[in-house]
Amino acid sequence: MKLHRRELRSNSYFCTISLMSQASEPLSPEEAIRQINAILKEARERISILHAEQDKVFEEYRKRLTALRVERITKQLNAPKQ
Amino acid sequence: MPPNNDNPLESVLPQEVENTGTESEAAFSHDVAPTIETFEHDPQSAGATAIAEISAEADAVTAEAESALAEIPASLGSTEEEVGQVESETGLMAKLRGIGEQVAGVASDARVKIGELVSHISGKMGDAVGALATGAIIGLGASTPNVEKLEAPLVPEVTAQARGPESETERKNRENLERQEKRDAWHEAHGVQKSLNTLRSYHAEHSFGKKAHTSSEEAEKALNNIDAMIESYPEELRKDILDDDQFTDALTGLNSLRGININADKPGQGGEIAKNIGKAIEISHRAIERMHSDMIHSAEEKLRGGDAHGLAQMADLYDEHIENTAMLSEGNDDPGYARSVVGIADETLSKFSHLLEEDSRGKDPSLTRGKTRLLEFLARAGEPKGVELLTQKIKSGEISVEELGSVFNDIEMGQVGVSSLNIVDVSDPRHARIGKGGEALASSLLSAYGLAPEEYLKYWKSPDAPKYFNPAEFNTKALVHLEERMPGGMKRLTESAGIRHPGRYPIELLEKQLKTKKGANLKYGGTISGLDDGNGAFVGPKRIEDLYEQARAQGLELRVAEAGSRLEVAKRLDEMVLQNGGKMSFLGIRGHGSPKGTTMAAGPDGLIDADFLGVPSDPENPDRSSLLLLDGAPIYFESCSTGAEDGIAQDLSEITPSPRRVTGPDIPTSIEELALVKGADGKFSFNIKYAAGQAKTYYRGKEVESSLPPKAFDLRYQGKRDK
Repeated sequence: MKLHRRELRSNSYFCTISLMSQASEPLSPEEAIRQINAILKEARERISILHAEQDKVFEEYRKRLTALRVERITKQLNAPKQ
Repeated sequence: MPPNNDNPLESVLPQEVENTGTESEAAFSHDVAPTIETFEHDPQSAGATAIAEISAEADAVTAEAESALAEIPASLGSTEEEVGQVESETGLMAKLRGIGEQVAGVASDARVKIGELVSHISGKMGDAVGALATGAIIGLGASTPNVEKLEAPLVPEVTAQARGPESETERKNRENLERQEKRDAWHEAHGVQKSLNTLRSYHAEHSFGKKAHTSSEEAEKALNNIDAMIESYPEELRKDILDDDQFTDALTGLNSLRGININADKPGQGGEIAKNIGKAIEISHRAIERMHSDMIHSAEEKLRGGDAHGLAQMADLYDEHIENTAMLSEGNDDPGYARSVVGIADETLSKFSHLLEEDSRGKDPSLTRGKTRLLEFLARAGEPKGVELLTQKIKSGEISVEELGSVFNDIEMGQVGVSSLNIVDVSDPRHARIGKGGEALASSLLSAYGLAPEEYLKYWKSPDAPKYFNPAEFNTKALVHLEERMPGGMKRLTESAGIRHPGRYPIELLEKQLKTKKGANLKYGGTISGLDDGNGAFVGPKRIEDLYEQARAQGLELRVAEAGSRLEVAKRLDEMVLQNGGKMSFLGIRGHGSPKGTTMAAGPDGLIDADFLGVPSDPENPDRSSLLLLDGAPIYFESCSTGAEDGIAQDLSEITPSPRRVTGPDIPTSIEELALVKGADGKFSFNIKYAAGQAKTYYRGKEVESSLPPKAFDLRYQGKRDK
C-alpha cells in the first residue's frame, strides 16, 4: 500500500518542532494567544472557502446524476410494448 | 437526454436539485466562527483547544463530503452505473481528493504554527507535543500534519538521527515519494492540469447545454498540450505509469469528451466539436498504444506486490477506450480506431490471463476489486479463461453476480454486427468476441449448473430490447440466486413448469413453488408466460412481484409457468392444477399479442387463440377453462391488443361455457398498474391500467365495466417499473 506523502513525513514532524523551538525567542502568553487566534481565524477562513468549493462540486454531481436519472426514466417510459 | 423545461418528467423529479448542502451544512454557514477567548493565561490549553477545533472542522468538511457522496445518489435513486459514469466524466473523486488534501493541509499548517507558538511560550518542546497530543485527542483523529514547508531547513543528520535507521518500507516509501514529486513537477511544468481543466469545462459546457465559456480553439489547444505531454513522457516515469494520476486522468478525460456527441449536431458547433472529439480519441488511442507495454509492466509489478489495483486500472482504461472508440467509429464511420484497440485489448487479455494464473498459484488469492474488475473485463471480451474463472468464482459464492452487471451490457446474442462494438468489422474474429461476453458467461453458468445452455439461450434473445431490459442479465442473476438457495432448482423448475426465464419472478416465489407438495390443495392464482420476448417487454420480476404481493395480501398463493406452444400451454396449466390440488382463482396470460391471440414462441404452434381455452378439446371435458379455473375466476391478458373488439378476450368470454370476466388492452401497450380485487362474494376481479389505450373487460361476449373504479394512477410506478 502506497503511503501518502503526509504520512511519510509525519516522522520528521516533532523533530521539526523541536529544532524550531530551540532557535526562537520565547513569547509572552498574551501575544501567543493573540497569534493563536489569528492562526485559527485564518485557517477557518481558508477551510470555509474550500468548503464552498466542495459544495460546488457536489452541486455539479447532483445535477449530472439528475440528468442521467431523467434519461433513465425517459427510457423506462418508452419501454417496449407487449 | 439532457433535462429541459419541456420535459414532463420534471414533475416527478425531486425538487431538491438546487439545494446542494447536506444535513451538516448548519455547522458550516461559511461565516468564520469566533476565536478563542478563554485560557487567557494558559497558552498551552488555548493551543490545544485551537488545534482540536480546527482539526474537527477540517474533519467535518471531509465527513460531509463522504456523507454527500452516499446521500446524493441515494436520494436520487441513481444506479451504480450512473454514479460511475458521472464520477468518471467529472473527475469527482480527484476533485474531492484535491479539496480534502487542501483542507487537511490548512488544518495541519495551523497545528504546526500553534504548536510552535506554544513551545515558544514555554521554551520547552514538551509543551508543544503536549498541546498537539491533547489537540489530537480532542480533535478525534485530526489530519496528519503537513510539514512540507518546514522540512527544508532540517539538518539532514539530525533528521536521520531522529528517525533512526531507514527500514526497507521507509526506503520504498521515500522512493515512491521522490518519483511522485518528479511526476508532479513534470506535470506542473507542462501545464497538464490546466489543460485537463479546460477539457473538463469544455466537456461539461457542451454536454449539458450550459453556456459555453470554453471555445473549441481553447479545447484544441489543451488537446495539443496533452498530446505533447504524452509524446514527451519521460522514460524514468514510465516505470509506474499507472500511479500517475494525471496521466490516467488525461486518458479518461480525453475519452469522456465523447459525451459532447449529444450536442454535436448543433448548428455552427457540430463540425468543430466533432473534430475535437475525434482528435481527443485519437490522442488517447495513440497514448494507450504508446504506453501499452509500460502499463502492462506497471500492472504486473503491482500484482507481484499483492496489489491487483493496477489490473483494475488497466481494465478500466481499456473498457472505456474500447467503448468510446466504438462510439466514435459509429459517428465517423471510421473503423480504424476500433480495429486497432481491439488488437491492443487482445494482447492485454493474454497478458492478464497469464498474470491471473500466476496469481492463483500464489498464497494470497484474496479477491480485490481489481481482480473482479479484471475478470469482468475478460469475460466481457469473451475471453474463455475469464469466463471460466468467473463461473468458478460465482458458483463458489466468491463473487456476487450483481458485481458483474456490465458484462451483460453489450450482449447482442445472435446479432453480431449490431452491437456498437461489432459494427466495425464483423469479419474480424477478435472483434466478434467483444460484446459476446455476456452470452459466454451465461452459457458457462448454465452448464455449470447442469443445464443445457441452448435450451435457455435461444429464448434469452431480445434483439430489440433496450440495454436496461436484457433478459440474459436478469435470468443469469436469478439462476445463480436460485441455485445458491436450492441447488438443482432451475432444472426442476424447467421440468415441472417449463420455466426458462427465472429472472421474471421473485426468487422467493420460485422457491415456494418448488417446495409445494403435490396435491397441496392450495388457494392460488396462476400465470402462463410465453418464452419468446423479442423486445424485452417481459424482462425483470417487478410485474410478477407486484401480483404476488397482492395475491398474498388476499390470502392466495401465486404459481407460474412458461410455455412455447399451444400444446405446452395446455400441458403446463393441467400440471399446475394437478400439482396444487385445485383450480385457480385467476389466470394471467402473458406474451406478445394481437387481437386474435398471444404468441408464446415462434413457430406454427406458438399462437394461442380463444378456441384453445374456450371450446371442447376433449368430448369428456367440454370446457377446458372450467377444468382449470374456479367458477367466475377471471382471466387477464398481459398481451398487446387482446382486448380489441372481436379479439381473443371478447371471444374467450363468449365461448366459455362457464361465464367469467376476461380483460385485455385494446391497443399495443403494456400493463402500467394492476389491482387484484376481492368482491363481497369472495370472487376475484382485476382492475388494470395499461400504459396506453383502454383495459377492456368482457363477460359473456359483452363489454362490461370494471367492478371498481380504476385505482388512482400512482406516479411511484414510473420510477420503479423496470419495463
